[in-house]
Amino acid sequence: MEIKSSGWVKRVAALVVKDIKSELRTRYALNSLFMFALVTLVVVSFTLGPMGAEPRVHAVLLWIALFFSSMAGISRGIVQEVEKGTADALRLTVPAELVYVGKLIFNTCLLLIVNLLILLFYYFFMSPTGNGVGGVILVVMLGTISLSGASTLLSAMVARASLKGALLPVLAFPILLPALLSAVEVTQLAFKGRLLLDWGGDLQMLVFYPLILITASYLLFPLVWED
Amino acid sequence: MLVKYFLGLWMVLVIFAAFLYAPAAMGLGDYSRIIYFHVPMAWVGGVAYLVSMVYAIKYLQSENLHYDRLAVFNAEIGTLFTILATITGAIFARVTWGDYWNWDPRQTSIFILLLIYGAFFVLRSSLDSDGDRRARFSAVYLLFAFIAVPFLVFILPRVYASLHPEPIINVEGQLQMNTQMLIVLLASLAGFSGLYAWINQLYRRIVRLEDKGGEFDL
Amino acid sequence: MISELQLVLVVVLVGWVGIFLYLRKIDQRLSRLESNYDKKEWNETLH
Repeated sequence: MEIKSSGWVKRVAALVVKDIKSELRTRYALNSLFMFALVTLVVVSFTLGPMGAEPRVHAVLLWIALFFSSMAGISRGIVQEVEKGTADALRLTVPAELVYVGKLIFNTCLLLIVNLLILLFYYFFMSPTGNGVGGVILVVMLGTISLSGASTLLSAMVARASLKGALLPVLAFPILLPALLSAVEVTQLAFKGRLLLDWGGDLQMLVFYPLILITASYLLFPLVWED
Repeated sequence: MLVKYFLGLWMVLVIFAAFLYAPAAMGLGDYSRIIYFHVPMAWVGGVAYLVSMVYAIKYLQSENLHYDRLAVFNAEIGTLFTILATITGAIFARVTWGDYWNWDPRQTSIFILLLIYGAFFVLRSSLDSDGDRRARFSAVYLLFAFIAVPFLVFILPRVYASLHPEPIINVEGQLQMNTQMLIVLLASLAGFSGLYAWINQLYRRIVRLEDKGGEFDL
Repeated sequence: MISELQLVLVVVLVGWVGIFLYLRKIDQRLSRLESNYDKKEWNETLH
């Protein structure tokens, strides 16, 4: 199907707006994301107790919380859509590529908002030392793009499968591992406030890997979206 | 058939060579001999993944479920060899560095391969309603997951080099092996590749036979 | 007595021989079935 260059921006925007409205109404994804993150943080904070932790440990814990919460949130979103049957209507009216872009944008925005909130909560519960907050925020945002870049395609597959929610982290983890490793590495630098000084391969990874993921997802999405 | 007997003999020679001809490595002693089996197993595990991907692409192009079967079979073979490689690698690690598992780049890479294979089978088992959809999704996952592989190959060594000492025999990196060891390793690699090719050929023949209406029980 | 090394060698050798014989058995059975089908097809094209 041809995508008229003037038309597609409007159509994608319409898709995103529709998803946002739906989400604001039901708040399914937001709720699961939030509860998951909260529980994780509470458990971690509780068990760690008054003992502080090194920046590296904080980086790891933060990304564990972010990873699993994001998985929980995204899988809820698209599964709900398929279950409600709106997915079929979408399939008939909108070309797959546009659906993908729309979903990608929606997922990214959703995750960005929630992950930054999780970060906020992380600071509240765990009080990591170090003054590199700006750097941490940047890394979380970059990492989040990778998370949604991988998950959007995978969630379309998961929505049709029987295990649904539990399946997404299993599928996503190997693919996201390069991004996660880099994210942890860079986050711990950021906590120490040394992010910009150490522009190593890891930060570049966080910028370029999601681009590759998104490109591949864009190409592969029609295969898993259309019947 | 003659080729296969040759393969059989070849591997017998390789086994003898691995245990008797090749010298024991400095410091590690005879336990280093596990390398002659561990490396080829990991190699076959990786090649099998590539072959699976090729069949997956062929399926996507033709929608012929045949290719799906071949892709799955190779994934199974790949998983088997990867598991064997992980186990032999763990034994080697235990002997060399004292721990069965310490997340050094080699171990992590083989483990990631195992994770990808595992995710692949979990995906398939959760999708048995529709042969075409299952085949399509499996193919897409195989391709998508492959993206991570080259990155992991480059990222991992850097991340963990700072934490773990270099292994005494850096098997795939610098060739600190002497010539004898190298010969045995290459010979073993060839032998395992031949074994893999044979197994593949047998499976393709089984599938072809079943197509014609024959039945084949193992 | 046999050293540990030699013991492992023997075990691996036996293991390989076992695998080889197993694969060979499958191979031979396949060859037989294949030639049967070839004969059938040949007969059918003749008639």
